[in-house]
Amino acid sequence: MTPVPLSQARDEQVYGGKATQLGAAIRAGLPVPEGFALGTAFVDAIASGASGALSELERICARMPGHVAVRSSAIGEDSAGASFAGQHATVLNVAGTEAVLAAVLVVWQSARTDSAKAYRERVGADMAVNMGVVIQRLVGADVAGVLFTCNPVTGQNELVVEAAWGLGEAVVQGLVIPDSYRMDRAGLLLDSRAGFKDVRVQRLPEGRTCTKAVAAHLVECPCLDAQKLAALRDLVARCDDVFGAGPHDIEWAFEGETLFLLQLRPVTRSRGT
Amino acid sequence: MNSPTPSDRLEFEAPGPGSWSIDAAHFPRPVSRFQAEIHPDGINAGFLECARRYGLLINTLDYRFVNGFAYSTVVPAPDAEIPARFEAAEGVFRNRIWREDLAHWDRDVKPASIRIHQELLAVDPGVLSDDDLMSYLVRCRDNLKRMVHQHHRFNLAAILPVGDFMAHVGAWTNQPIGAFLALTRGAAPESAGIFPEIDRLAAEIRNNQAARKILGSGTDGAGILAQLCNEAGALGDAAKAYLGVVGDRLLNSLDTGEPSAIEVPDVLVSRIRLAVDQAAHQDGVVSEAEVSGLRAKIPTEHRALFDELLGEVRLMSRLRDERGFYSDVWAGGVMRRALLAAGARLAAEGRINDAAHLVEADFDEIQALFSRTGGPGAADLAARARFRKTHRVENAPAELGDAASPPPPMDGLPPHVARVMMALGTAVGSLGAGPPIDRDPAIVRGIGASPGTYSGVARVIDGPDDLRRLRTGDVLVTAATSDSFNIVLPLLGAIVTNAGGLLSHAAIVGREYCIPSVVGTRNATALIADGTRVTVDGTTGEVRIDAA
Repeated sequence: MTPVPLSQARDEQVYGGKATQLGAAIRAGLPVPEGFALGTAFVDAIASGASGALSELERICARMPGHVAVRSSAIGEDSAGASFAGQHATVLNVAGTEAVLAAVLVVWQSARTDSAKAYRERVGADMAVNMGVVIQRLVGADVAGVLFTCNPVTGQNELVVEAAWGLGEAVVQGLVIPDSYRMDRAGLLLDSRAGFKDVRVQRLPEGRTCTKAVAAHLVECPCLDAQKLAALRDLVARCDDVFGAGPHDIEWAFEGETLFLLQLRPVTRSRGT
Repeated sequence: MNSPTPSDRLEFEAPGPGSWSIDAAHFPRPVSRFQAEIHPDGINAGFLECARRYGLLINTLDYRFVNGFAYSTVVPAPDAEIPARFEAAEGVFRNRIWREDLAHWDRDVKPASIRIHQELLAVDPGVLSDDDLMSYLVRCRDNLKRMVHQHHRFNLAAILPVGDFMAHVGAWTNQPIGAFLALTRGAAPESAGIFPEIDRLAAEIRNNQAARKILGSGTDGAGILAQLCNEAGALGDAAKAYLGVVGDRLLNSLDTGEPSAIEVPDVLVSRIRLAVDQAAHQDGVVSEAEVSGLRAKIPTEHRALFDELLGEVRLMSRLRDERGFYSDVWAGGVMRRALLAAGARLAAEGRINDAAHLVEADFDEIQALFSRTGGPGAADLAARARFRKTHRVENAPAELGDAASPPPPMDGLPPHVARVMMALGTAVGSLGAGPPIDRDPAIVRGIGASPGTYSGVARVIDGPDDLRRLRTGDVLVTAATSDSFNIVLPLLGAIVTNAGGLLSHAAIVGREYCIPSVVGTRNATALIADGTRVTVDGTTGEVRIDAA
C-alpha cells in the first residue's frame, strides 16, 4: 500500500488506469514527467486521516521538490467504454505536503460528486469508487493540448491535434477555440486551422493556476510549428509501439522545445443509439 | 518530417505603408507564384480606369500578395484629380453610364475575348517544339495579363448598380437585404454554370437512352465524359461543345494554380446530371408575386425609384460573372493548360515532381527551368505546392500594417459623389462577408464535434449557477462547458458553445452520450436568444435558428 515511483505502477486494480498507463509509458522510455503512484487503499487511508499514510505522503513530497500536478487515477477510468473525461479532478501546480494533501483530498472527493455519480450511472460504471492518485512533476507548458489518433467525429484513421498556449487545461476544459491540425499517419499535414486562443491557463508563482488574457497578436497565431508537429507524430509512433495502434487520446505539453506525454487513454466510441 | 513543411511559422509584413486587409472572398487560399506575379498590375490598372470613369474618390485597391495571401489597401485619389472626379460622378447616374459599359462589353469585348481564347485553344501545346511552346506560354501569359485588367475595367459597371440598390433598400426598410437580392436571381445565367451548351447537351442526353445509361453508370467522371464525347452525331458534338466552353476555365478560382473544370470531371458530370434532371431552369424566374411582396415593404413614395433601381440591377447582374468568366477565368484556364503541357515535359525529365508544380514558379524561374539552365529544384516547388494546399486565409492575419481608420465622412460631398461612394462601399462590404449563405443571420457556424441533428429550445446559460434553468431536451448554449456542466449533460438534447474544440472534455462526453454538439462558434451566446427554437447539426457544425 506504500506509494511507488510511477515507473513501478503495474497493477491497475491497485493504482488505477492512468497510473498504470503512465508507468508502462515510462518503462518504454516515453517522455513522461517523473512522479509517484498512490494506490487506492493508500488514498483511502489519507482520506481517513491515518497518520502512517500522512507521514508517507510527507516523505514523497520531500522527494519531489518543486511544483507538482495531482491527478485522479480511478479504477475503471480511462477505459475504452468510458473516458471519465473531466469527471475527476486534476489539481495543478501545488507544492509542499499540506497543499499536496489538500489536493489528494480534492481528487478523492471528486469521484463522489453528483456530477461524477451521474456519469457513472449513465455509462453503467461500478458505483463504488476506488480512487488512485498520481503525483507528478508539473510541466511548465508553453503550448499544450490533446491529440487523437483517429478523427473522433468522422472515424478517419488520422491524427487530430488541438493546441493552445499555456497549460493544456485551456483545451481540455474548452476555454478557447484551439488551433486544430490534421495529419496523416506519416505526418503529412492535411489541414490546419488557427483557433481563437484569447486566454491561457498558467501557473501562479505561489501555486495553483489562473486564466490570463493572451497578447492580441498571439490569439490567432498558430502555436505549433513543423518541428513540434513532427515531434507529436513521433510520439504517436512510439505510443503505438507500446500500447498498440488502437486509437489513443493523448494529452501532451511542450516545455520550451521539449515534448512531454501527460496522459494517454483509449479513444472512447460513440455509444450508439 | 525534417524537411521544411508548410506550417513553418510565417512572417507577415505589411507590403507597404498604410492599413492592409486580407481578401478572403476572392483568394481563400494562397495563390501560386505564377499568378501572384501577374495579378496586382491588372487589378490596379483596371480599377484606376473605373475610378476615373465613375468619379471615385479613391484611385484603386492596391493588391499585393504576402505569403501568397491577397492583401489590399485603399489608395485615395490625388488631390489634383478631385475636380475631374466630381465632374465624372455628376454624369454617372444621369447617363447610367454602366449601360454604355454593358453595350461595349456585349458588342466588342466579350466577342473578342471568345475569339482570342478559342484561337489559343486551337493550338495543341503538347505537339509544339520546346521553343514554340515557350512562345506559346508567353502569348498565353500576355493574354492573361490583359484579361485580368479587362475583368477589373468592368468592376464598377458590374457592382455599382447592385450596391446602389442595396444602399437605397437599406435606407428604406429594415428588412433583410437577402430577400431583395434574391429578386435578381436568374438574371445571370452564367453564374449558375448555365450555358446554352449545357441545355443542348442535356436535351441530347434526355433523348438518347444509351447516353442516359452512360450518365447513370458507376464509371468515374472522366470515363463518363470520354464516353459521351466519343458518341457519334449530335450527342458527341454537344458534349464536345460543352467541354469546349467550360472545360478550360478555372473551376472555382482566379488563380492559375487551381484546377480547371476539366481536371475535376466529377463536378462536370454532376452538373450535367443536374441539367438532365431539370427539364427547364424554372428556378431562374422570379415571380411577380415575389416582387410585389417585397415592393410592398418599401414606402410608397420610393417605389418608383425601387422599380428603376431593381431594373438596373437585373439588367447588369450578368456582367458581374461574365466579366470574369470570359476574361481571366477563361484566360487562366488556357494558361494552365499551357503550363501543364510544359510542366509535363519537365516532370518526364525528372526536373519537377508533378506537371502542376510549374505554376509554383515565377516566370523567370519557369524560363530558367524550361531552358534547362537553372531554376528552383523539384523539392522546392513541391514544398510550395504543399504550402498552398495546407494553408487557408484562416492561417493568415486579417489585417496588416496600421490599424484601419474609419472611412472619411461623406457629408459635404456633392450628392452624386456621395452616392457613388456609398454604392461602392455597400457592394464591396457585402463581398467581404463571403457567400450569401454566410450572411444568413439564421445560421450560427462552429465546429461539428458530435454528430447528429437535434431540434429543441435553446437555453443560454451564463455559468454553473444558471444551470438549474435547464429542462430535459433543451439545447445548452453557453460560452464554455467547464467540467461542472457534466452533471446536466444527460439532460441535454444538444450542446452549442462559443469556445472549445473537438477534443475538449465536453466534446468527448457529448460523443459518448450521442448528444449532437457544435463547439467553437465564437458568439453563439450573443446570436441565439434564450428560448429560441434551434436545430443543431453536429455533423456540419451549423446551428439554425428556427423560431422564437
